[in-house]
Amino acid sequence: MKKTERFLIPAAMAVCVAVLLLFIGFLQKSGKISKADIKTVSHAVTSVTDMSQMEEGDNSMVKRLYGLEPGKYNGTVLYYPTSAATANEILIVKLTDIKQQDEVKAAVEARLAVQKKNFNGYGVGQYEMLQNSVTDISGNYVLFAATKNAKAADAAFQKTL
Amino acid sequence: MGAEAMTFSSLIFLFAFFPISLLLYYLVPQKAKNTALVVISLLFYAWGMPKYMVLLAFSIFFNYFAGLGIARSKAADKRHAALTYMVIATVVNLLLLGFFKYDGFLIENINHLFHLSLTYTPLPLPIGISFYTFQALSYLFDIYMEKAPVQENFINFAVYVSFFPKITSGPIVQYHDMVDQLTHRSCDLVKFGEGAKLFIIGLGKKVLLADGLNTTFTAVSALPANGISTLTAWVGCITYTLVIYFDFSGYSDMAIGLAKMFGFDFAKNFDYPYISESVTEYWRRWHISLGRWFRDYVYIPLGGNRNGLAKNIRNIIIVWLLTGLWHGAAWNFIFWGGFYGALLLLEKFVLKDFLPKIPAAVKHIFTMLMVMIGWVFFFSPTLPSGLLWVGRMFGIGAPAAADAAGRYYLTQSLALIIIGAFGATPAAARIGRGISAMARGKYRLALRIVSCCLILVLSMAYMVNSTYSTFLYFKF
Repeated sequence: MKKTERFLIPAAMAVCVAVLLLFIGFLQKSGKISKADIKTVSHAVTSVTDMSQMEEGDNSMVKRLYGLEPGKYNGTVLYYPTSAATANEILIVKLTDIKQQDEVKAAVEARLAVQKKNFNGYGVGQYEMLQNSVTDISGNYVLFAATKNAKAADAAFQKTL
Repeated sequence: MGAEAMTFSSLIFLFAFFPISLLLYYLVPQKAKNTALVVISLLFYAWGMPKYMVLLAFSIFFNYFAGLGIARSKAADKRHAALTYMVIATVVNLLLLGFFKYDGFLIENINHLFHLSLTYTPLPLPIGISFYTFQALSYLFDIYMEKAPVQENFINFAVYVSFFPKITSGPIVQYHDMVDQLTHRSCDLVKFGEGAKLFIIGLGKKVLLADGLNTTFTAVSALPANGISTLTAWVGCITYTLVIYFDFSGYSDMAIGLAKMFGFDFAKNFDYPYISESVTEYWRRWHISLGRWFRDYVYIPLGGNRNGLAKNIRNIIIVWLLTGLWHGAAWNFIFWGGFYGALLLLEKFVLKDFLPKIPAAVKHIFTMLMVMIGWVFFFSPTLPSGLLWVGRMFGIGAPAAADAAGRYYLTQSLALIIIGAFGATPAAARIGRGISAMARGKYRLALRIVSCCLILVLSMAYMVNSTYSTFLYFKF
């Protein structure tokens, strides 16, 4: 065996294992099942967010804005803008099965695309806020936060799971 | 997992993926054929679960380097280094399989045993992980045991691990059986035709028989086990016995047929197992590639039958408990493996002088009875529910010998049960060959083509009207 091979082969195997471990870590995070109550999660998120420009939406509003059927999930919480001039929005979905992650993610992406189109060239601050919005899929929970401090909302969300 | 995994019996595979793949494969120059196969195979695997492509890529890269390590160490006469590479690579492969397949089972049992509350994240089982891990292990063992030369070409090795006809449910092709075909293979019109015929027969088995019978089995298995009559329990057991055979052997036929159309020759995976006259014979005919894998890489290296009776019994028990565990992370699968281990020991050591004196029909009935009881543990979600079902089959705790539900499901599936039972024997193929032999010259070929077209059209008609149907062995 050449000297280079003596070093390179175990190194390549170690790199493969390192990538595998990173991937497993990612899967663990995205597949984590939280027993937290959606009300607790919602309370944690709203307590760090300026809610003055949002009001709570019911199931029909979730369906109207996101095209999601709330009955399919373990729970949904929606806060949507009180006026058409703002884009503040929070959606929390507790999934019944992590296989639903993709459909909820697609619905959030579609809603975000619509809002970006609505505010592009119209409300610079609102558009920027949408640009900095957070979509966090963590196991059986999904958070969409289009707020001024979306990162804080996400941190509070993660902490309660 | 997002979308469903691609299956051979889906319209998207038959009308888009397969023809495009075939076209691509035959259009590219000879040198690029294996690269084309890797691209096609990765796309096939990524279809339903792109995330898990990382695992397949890991298996390809990691085992490629491990194989080089073993071979280079052997060439330099460093046996200890070669053994170290082989052991480390085997452990990593088994840990990966164990993590995705057995973590929940292990943690739940530890919690139960030690009154702990350890948690784990339940992850979907990556399709085909048991199959491609066993193939990667076959590569490592073959290199270590010098049954085959190391694969220096990365693309050729990637074809061996990922070749799409066998990646999701086998057959588990051992490396030394495929190594030459990775570089030298050909496909003429006759071989292509044989492959197409095998594929269509497999499709018919899956769509017309397995899926048809599965409707009854699904309905019966949804009934509460403690309330079913003896008749219903038997209908459930008989339909599952046929469903699993036509589902898995149909898949294997399709896989072998597809491989043929790309120039590969794989050995058969089923050989009419339900005509067996002993459990030993049955396991020589059922899932042949898995049996061979355990024989070549576990049973023989452990010593097989060479080191006395006690060690032979130990080796048989180990192989069968592992076979059970390979099928699933649950006590009923381990019990199922142990059940077969016990039967094989009985036949090999206790009944060996007695069996030849028993009439063939009695031996066949006894074998099928054992196989069917085995399937009850296989389809039952837990070991106690399996025991309950077997009890109902023999009237233990059954509310009635026959009830309206049992009669209804029997009537619903009787025609398919008869066709299936007949189709599971070589008689059906023999009649087909007999009819074909009556035709002469070009009419014989025409008759064969028309028969295949008929099966294909009928299968497609069923597929158009049915919902997504996966294969039972995808979950292993």
